[in-house]
Amino acid sequence: MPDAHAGKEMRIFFLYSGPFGEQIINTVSLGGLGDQVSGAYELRPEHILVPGGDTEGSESLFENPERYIPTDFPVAQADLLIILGIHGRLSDLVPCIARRLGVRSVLYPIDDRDTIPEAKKTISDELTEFGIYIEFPEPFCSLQRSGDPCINEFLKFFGRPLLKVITDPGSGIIHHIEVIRDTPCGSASCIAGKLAGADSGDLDTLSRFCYDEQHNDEADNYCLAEMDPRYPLMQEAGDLLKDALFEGCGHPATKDTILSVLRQSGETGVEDLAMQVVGLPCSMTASGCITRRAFDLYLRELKEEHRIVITSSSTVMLI
Amino acid sequence: MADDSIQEDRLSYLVSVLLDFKGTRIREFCQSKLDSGADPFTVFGELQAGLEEIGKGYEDPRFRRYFNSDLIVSGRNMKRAIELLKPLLPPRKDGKGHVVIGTVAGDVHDIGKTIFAVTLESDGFIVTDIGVDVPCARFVEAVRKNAPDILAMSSLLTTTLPEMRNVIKGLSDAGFRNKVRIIVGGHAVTEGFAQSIGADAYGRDCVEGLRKCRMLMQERK
Repeated sequence: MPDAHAGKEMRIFFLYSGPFGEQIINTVSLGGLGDQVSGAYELRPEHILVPGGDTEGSESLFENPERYIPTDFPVAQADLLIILGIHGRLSDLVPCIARRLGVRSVLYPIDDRDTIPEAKKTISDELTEFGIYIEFPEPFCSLQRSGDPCINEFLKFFGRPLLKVITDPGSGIIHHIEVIRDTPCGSASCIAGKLAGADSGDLDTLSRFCYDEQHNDEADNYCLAEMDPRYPLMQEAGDLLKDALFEGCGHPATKDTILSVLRQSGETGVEDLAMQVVGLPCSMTASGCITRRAFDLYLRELKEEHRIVITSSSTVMLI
Repeated sequence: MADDSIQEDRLSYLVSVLLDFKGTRIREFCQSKLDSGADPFTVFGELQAGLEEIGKGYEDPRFRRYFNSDLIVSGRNMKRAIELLKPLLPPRKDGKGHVVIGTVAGDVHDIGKTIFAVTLESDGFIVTDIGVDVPCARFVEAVRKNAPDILAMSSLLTTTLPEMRNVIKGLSDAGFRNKVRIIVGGHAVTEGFAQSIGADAYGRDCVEGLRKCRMLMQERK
């Protein structure tokens, strides 16, 4: 069947639940992609599941997901389906919904352990079988590139924050910050707007402001990711935002710190390296990060960029 | 059956008001209730029912239907409601009890502690919030100055857990330990840890914390 939408702008459909989803839809719609949103539907668990987390019918969700797609689900077409904070048990519906919408790609961010899809591998295999690409960024704002053109199109606007900081050449005072790529929750642009007049050379104040404001619920937009110290997605998002600000100001970010430690120390054990880069909020080194998750992410990226090698005995060295 | 259904619709409406991330609906809800003659306590009571519904949905181990983000947004909306309704409340002398609350030294996490403070306030407790990163001496001073019924301490970081023990020791050394009940909570804290440091209660989250504070007040009577 010929694709009537070929050559046109990408259309986005949101399947969401709760304020986490609402905030992102709002940011995306107001942040440059509003005319490309072909629809949004709130999928609440209590409309489909019963206590115990199962369905009321004799067939389970897994056996016949099509049957459980709500009758008021809109008729719409899209290229990219974005899943935001739906109950993990309802992920079985995703392949059916993706096919019904005719999407080419699915973006399924995980910002809370409770929303991890129960059948992650199954839905991934099922979608791949139908030629639909799926990605599970964790957290959403960690994603900066994808193997899929549709998702890359989205990443031109939203994903891992990317900032350009314009400063007064004499004093180093921030004149304004251009948000090249906003976080999906909108906290990056919210913080950028508040930094005009700050001293771009005061690393400690900049990083503290970033970490505090990123989850400041008095702000218009703020991070709603899980903050459990055992699964610190919100704190990792703070690291990514702080590093985007530092890069924008021309200061060394966490990745630079990792490389600098390796230049000075030579081959270093992963754990020793982590001890020198990962700190705590109250005693952080301005150029490091506060979460081990961010450190591990940067290490993976440096390896993919062929700048470091991680040996089988868990040591790291520069290439 | 019809009554159940009306009650369900009402709760689901209140929940949707509390989960509106922009905060527009909570202001409209409070204003329309006040315009129709409801007193602020009644409005708080209704919102509290919605908050409890979200808490139940978050706590239910068999069917968790509300998540971390729902707790944050509903807590924020309760704060908005309090900002609007508090100036209209008559001075309350018969509060359920007085709670001094703070996050221990070394920890700057504010959200969970503030949501708990708001939850307590909306339930009728008088709350003195002494902030985050609070050193032992300030906790002791706050207990001396306010003579609260309950001291609530929060810690999200495992590295700051020993501070809770320090505060309890500090209160004992200053002779206040027997004058105040202590509840601890926050993601780094467990029931076992609470017992090991000699706290009187542990709250896994706001909902359980509120229940425990009510219990502590019952025991005090």
